[in-house]
Amino acid sequence: MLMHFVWAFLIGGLICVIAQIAMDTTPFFVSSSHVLVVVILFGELLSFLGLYQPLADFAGMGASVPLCGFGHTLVQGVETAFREKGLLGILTGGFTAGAAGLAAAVLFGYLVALIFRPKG
Amino acid sequence: MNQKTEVLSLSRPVYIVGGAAIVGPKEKKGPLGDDFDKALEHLGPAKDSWENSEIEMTVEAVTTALNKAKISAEDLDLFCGGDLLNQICAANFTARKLKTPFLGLYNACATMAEGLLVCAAMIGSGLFQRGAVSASSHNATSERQYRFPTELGVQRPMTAQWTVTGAGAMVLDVESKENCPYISGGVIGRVVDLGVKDPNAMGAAMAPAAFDTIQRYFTYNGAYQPDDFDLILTGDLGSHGHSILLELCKREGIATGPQFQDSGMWIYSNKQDVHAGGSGAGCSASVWSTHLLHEVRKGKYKRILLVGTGALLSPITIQQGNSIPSIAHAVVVETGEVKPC
Amino acid sequence: MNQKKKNDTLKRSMEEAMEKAKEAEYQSLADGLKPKTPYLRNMLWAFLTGGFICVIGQAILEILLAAGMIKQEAITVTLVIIIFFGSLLTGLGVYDKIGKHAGAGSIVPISGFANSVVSPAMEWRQEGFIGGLAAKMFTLAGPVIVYGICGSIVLGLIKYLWLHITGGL
Repeated sequence: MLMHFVWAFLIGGLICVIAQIAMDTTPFFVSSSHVLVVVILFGELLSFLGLYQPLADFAGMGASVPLCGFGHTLVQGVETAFREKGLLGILTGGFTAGAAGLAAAVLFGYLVALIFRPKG
Repeated sequence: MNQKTEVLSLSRPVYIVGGAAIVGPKEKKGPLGDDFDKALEHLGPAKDSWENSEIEMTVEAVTTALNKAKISAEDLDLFCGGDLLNQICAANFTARKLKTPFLGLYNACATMAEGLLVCAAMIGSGLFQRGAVSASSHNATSERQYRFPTELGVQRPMTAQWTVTGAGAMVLDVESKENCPYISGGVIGRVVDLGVKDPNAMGAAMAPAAFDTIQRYFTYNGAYQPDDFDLILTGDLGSHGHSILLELCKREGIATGPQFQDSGMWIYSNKQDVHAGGSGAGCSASVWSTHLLHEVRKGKYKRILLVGTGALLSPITIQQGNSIPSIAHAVVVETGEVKPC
Repeated sequence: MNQKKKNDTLKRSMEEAMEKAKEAEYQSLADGLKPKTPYLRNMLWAFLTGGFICVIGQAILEILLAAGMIKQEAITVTLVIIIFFGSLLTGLGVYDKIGKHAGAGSIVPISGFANSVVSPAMEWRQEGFIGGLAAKMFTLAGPVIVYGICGSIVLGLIKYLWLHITGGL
């Protein structure tokens, strides 16, 4: 049990450190969009190569909370869907798998923007 | 053939008879905090927009400066103002309130220097009696227009500067009031671009422009050397840009010294974690129209070269891969007896 | 005539080359005086913050699992909860303060994705509920969805074809 937490901390932290090093060593300024796009594509590639699931089994939320875990979810979703529905599944799989996260972000984003004002 | 005019020399002095600045909470906490006339409690009122807060700040800075100079807005012949927002809206709305003839200016962070030059040239040439100049910037309005939403968690690089929340205004008059400094001339800057593309290294983009203007002034003015000035104050180069400027001067044989200072490095203390210093049109405007005028009245400085520096950055051309053109205008401020021309 | 044209082009390319050299020289001067990036401090902050958010996620997951939820669902619910807290902290004006120090440590976790959805929505609310809030909501997070979805489709298609050829499907 304790080891779950230790590995989640270490792997999650390590992914962020890799992203931080990439950010700091890029010669031009990178926005958070740039970082997130690279991270999600990185996760998708690892998932495609079959490397992400073992990492997720091992690191638990340390692999699922970083956005590369979301990329993994999308790629997995596409594969599950095309196994069930054939070619159409390639189109529906990603959004189906990511639906909860995306809908939650939209809903909470809307509610928070209604309630709170930016503070600068 | 006429000789090209590099340095402006006004045929009569134009006096700075009043100045005021309204700033944000962070600037109030800085080393110059006590010199500013008023500070906002928050960056913006809870129910209103950032832009309205900048407009209110600019209006108040101009009216306070007019009050200090004991001149009413109706007696103003001209108002020159600008800011960093699209369509310079803070200045436009201020002019709507003032109802004086208005010239809207944009030279990014060099707007205050540009306004002083334009207004002083008009008054000095006898077209007008008195005018007001203002420039403003607001951290949140510029963040959201030039960079990111204010609540986004971004890590700013060490070369980045903090956009000052502040509005500064000065009142210029052809007649002297007691103990007032006067503008005797200046240099209109050229756009200089040495290919800097990083919008987070604006000091590096602006330093060559500041150097160009300073070099032109000392090559062509014929009277003064850098040592003749108590202060050569750049607008908002920040620590990075300032060190580049000193290096450029050294390489080209312009004698530098402790009189080379930067307003962007004055306005915040190192503890405030702003990285390279302050920037924005409001940076030079608020520092010059309060702190600097106080020090001049106290007699600390007798002759000053103000060099307003501006990075003429457009978020669109930056995204298209273009570099940042920059400009610097110089204004000579002197005290004491007016020398006959 | 032709010769003159040639000379002009030559002159122009020489001028361009000189300008390039001047720019390069200036760039190296400016870079030399650049304040140092605190690499180690940034890495430490990113590690601690990123790891901490993941540990919180792990704690939520363990609670949900203990409550009898199946694993795949528990992971999804955990992510939704983290998105909720990311949004809430953005609304309270805390997330940007964390991000200033944590850098990638608060961008890369899914709460950072929530932050990039919520912050523009809040920022542009004054410009209206449709043209402001809703239209700007995905100015920063949009690219992530675009590349995430496109990437998954491309990789999915490759895998689909591969499985067809090898007869795995």
